[in-house]
Amino acid sequence: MPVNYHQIESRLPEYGKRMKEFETALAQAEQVLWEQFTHLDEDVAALRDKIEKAEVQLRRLYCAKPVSEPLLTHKAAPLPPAGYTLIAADGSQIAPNRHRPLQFGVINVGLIQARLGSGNPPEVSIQSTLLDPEELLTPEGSLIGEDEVALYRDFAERRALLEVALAAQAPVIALTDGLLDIYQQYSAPQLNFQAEMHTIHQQLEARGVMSAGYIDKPGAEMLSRMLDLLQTPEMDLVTYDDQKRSLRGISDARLLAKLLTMPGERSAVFETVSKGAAQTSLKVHFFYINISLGGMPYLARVEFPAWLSAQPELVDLLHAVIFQEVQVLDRHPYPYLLHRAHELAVITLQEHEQVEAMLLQEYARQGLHAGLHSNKDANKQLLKI
Amino acid sequence: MSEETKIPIGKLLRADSRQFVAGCRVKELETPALGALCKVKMEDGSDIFGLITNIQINDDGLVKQLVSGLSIPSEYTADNRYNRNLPVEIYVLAVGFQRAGRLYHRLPPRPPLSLDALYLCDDAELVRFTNSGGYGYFRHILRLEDQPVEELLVAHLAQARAAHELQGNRDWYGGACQELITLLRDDYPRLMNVLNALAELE
Repeated sequence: MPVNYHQIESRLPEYGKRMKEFETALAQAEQVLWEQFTHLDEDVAALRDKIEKAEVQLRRLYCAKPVSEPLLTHKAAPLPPAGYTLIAADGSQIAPNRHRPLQFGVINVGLIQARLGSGNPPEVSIQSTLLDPEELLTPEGSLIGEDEVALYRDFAERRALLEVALAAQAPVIALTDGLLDIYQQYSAPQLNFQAEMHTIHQQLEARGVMSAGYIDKPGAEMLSRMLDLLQTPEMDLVTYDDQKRSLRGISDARLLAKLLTMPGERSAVFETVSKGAAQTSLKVHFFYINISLGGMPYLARVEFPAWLSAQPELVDLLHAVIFQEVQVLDRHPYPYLLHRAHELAVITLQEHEQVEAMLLQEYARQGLHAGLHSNKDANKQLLKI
Repeated sequence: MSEETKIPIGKLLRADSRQFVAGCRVKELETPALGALCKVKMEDGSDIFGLITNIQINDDGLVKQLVSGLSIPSEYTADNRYNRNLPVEIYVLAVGFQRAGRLYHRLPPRPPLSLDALYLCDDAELVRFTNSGGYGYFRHILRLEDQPVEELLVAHLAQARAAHELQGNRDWYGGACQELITLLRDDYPRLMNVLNALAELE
């Protein structure tokens, strides 16, 4: 049965009216936040000081903290160097599915390395890993889900990047899609990558590799959280509750679009303050960059390890390279090499079924009995005809 | 060069009795040329010969976006040419076959199969094929519709003439022109087009 379009359509006028009211409220909130953002009298050190006091007092906190540049920084993109190495990794996965005859997991990482300025085609590779049977179960004994498999995937991406980056010709930028670090929210011991991630980041730093996470169309509200915190009297910080924030729904990207109006401009560098459930092994800094090549600003967030900020020329280099990279796909600006890594990594339905067939054959060779499709899954297959 | 050491220029995507289409990667595109004689080796030991009538470079969404890009580093152009899975399609007109050491300028009894390898013929094979049985294979070329037959003829005859002359045979090309005049004697406009095109070889 298709969607009941009549029901949807009859709701549209009322829905449109409410959307308009909602958008008006958001625009007012945006204006208030903008006023707060542009009228902060204290210097960056004082702002940091207040946020750090909150960090000490609060159990959970997720917001931005300025590093050293003025809040209203908007810096044009520098020119990239004549030669540099850019590496991108992206992963895809098959998560175990109890409705299938076999429960298995696959991690596929696409890796691409280009030496810009060399004229040579990039080197590409694909690393496919079958998860071990014991990796498929949680400590409680149930099958792991998409989130857990995504953790394996994210870790595999970083490990693959490290292997290539350590041998690459400097300067090296190693790019992943999404957040720079892996945010650990699972208790399963086999999924605790924090120690290994820490080692990976240490090795990258020692080698001077600039690792970066590229977040397209970011929705985070770290700046509005920061502003809300900064409006709170110091004596009330201890009872501060982010969930009672009155100005919600304005992303950092929406707020900074008023500031970063020129193509390629970046914001000040901020630090991610993350305290609470989502633990991270890395001190992360970030800036927003307007990647539109004219017209309305379109902001992306670029995360990088804090050690880069101590060398502003490296932040400039990262800024320049990211802007150069997104211009390649100028109709829908996005780093070219990240797109290629995704293209390499993606697992099609046909490939999924092929891997399952390979595993079923191996089961038969080993004299093992595979399970059956669930009745639900078998009936769903009928709908595909 | 022995058959074993020849490198295929592509593999077959699809075929019928009259023509076949092979795919190759851009980096394998240095050797095949319009009008070149090529062959597919069949499992029964026979060979199917054909002339390259068209070479098509395919695109996809990414290439279309790159075309309009402001700034494409040469490394990324090379990436699309050498790393991405965008096959170049080589269209081949069947012009004959070889069975038990004997050459025929007839259509093959069966088309080749998908994924069969397509090889470029060397000068010796080109001379042998074009010398065998007169110029009978010309009829397959002249039967083509919606294709630049004159250009195909010029390309093919230029290659075949050079191969024959290397072996000291200066008469083959003159004979080929005479044959075309005979075959097209009832189609004056087309004959003139062919002769005008061939004038470039003089």
